[in-house]
Amino acid sequence: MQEDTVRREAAVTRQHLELLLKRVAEVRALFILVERITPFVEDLVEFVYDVGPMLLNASKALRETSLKMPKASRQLDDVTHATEVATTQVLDRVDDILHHLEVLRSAVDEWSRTRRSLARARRRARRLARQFPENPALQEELEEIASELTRAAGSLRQWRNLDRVIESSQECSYEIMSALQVQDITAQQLAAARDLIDKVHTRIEELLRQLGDEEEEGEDRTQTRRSYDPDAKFDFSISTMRQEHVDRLLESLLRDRAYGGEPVVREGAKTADPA
Amino acid sequence: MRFLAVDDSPTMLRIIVNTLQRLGYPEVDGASDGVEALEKLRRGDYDLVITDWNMPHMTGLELLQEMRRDPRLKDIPVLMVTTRSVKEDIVQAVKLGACSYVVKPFTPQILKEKIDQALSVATGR
Ligand SMILES: [Mg+2]
Repeated sequence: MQEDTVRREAAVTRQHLELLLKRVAEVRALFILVERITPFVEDLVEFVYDVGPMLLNASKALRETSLKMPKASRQLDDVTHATEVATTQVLDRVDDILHHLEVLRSAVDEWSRTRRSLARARRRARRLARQFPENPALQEELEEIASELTRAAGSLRQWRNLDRVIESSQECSYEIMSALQVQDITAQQLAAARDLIDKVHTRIEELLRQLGDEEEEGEDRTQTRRSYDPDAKFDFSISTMRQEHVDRLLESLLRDRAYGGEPVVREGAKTADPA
Repeated sequence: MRFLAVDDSPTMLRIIVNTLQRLGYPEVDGASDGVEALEKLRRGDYDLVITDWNMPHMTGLELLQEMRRDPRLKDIPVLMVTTRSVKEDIVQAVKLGACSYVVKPFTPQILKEKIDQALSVATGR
């Protein structure tokens, strides 16, 4: 009986010992793991020490950039406004030039009418002279008048090329006017750039908020938005090419509609934008 | 012939008005967006609308849509003058009833050609 008790006790003790040894092995393994992990943890701590100030600097840099962005955006608007003012001034001058050219043209018209009436008067003077062969003094006088009229008409003759000068100046003025379409197109390009800045600004502000950095009082961002085409280009050769593509597409669409259907875009029909 | 030119760019509006006058159409009014254009269209009689696409408040396409809904305005021919020239845009404009389409920057010759086209489509209706 006592022997049984001792055997049982011994078995329990062995079990405990085994458990203890198992725990020791586990602790040892843990130590080994910790030993192995320690350098990583040290690296990690070092990294956090390094990255902390870096993040702080990055956040500062982002904040500085973010504060400058509304100003950059406003500067783009200022450029648009300045080109608009300058273009308006050029258009005003072009209008003035066109007005002056109109005044000149009516003067030229008047001069050519005068030249024709001088020529008529000269012919009449010569005809009259021929009617009085018996009066050489009168003939001489009339011939002198005719010569005077010829000289006067001649001095007006030098302006006969002015018509062409006026016409080519008008053409130049219209070309300048056409070229000023550049203002609208660059304004659209600037509006696209501004929109991009505003979007980046919003993203940076979101990021800064996540980093715990609240938005500082910056410039007013509520400015009027321009509507724009991000692909706008100022190039007459490109627009001519695009126009040809548009014309072809338009023709086929309108033909479809003429046959009673909705305009259809056929498979394989190329984009109207070759650029 | 009385035209209404619509563009949010004051420069472009002036260029269009001047070009039209040079082409022999002296009666041209201007509007700076679709909203102002609709107001003018509802008050006056116009033979042709020449409109930009990209405008604030109401785009050229929305203006076209509004015009087609209004029995008094639905038959006025509309010419789009825009930098946009991708296929989807043109299809959309034609579906809404744009008569013709001019790509910016344009030459006076192209504008004249497309005005004639838009007016002939209108009279042929
Ligand atoms: Mg516009």
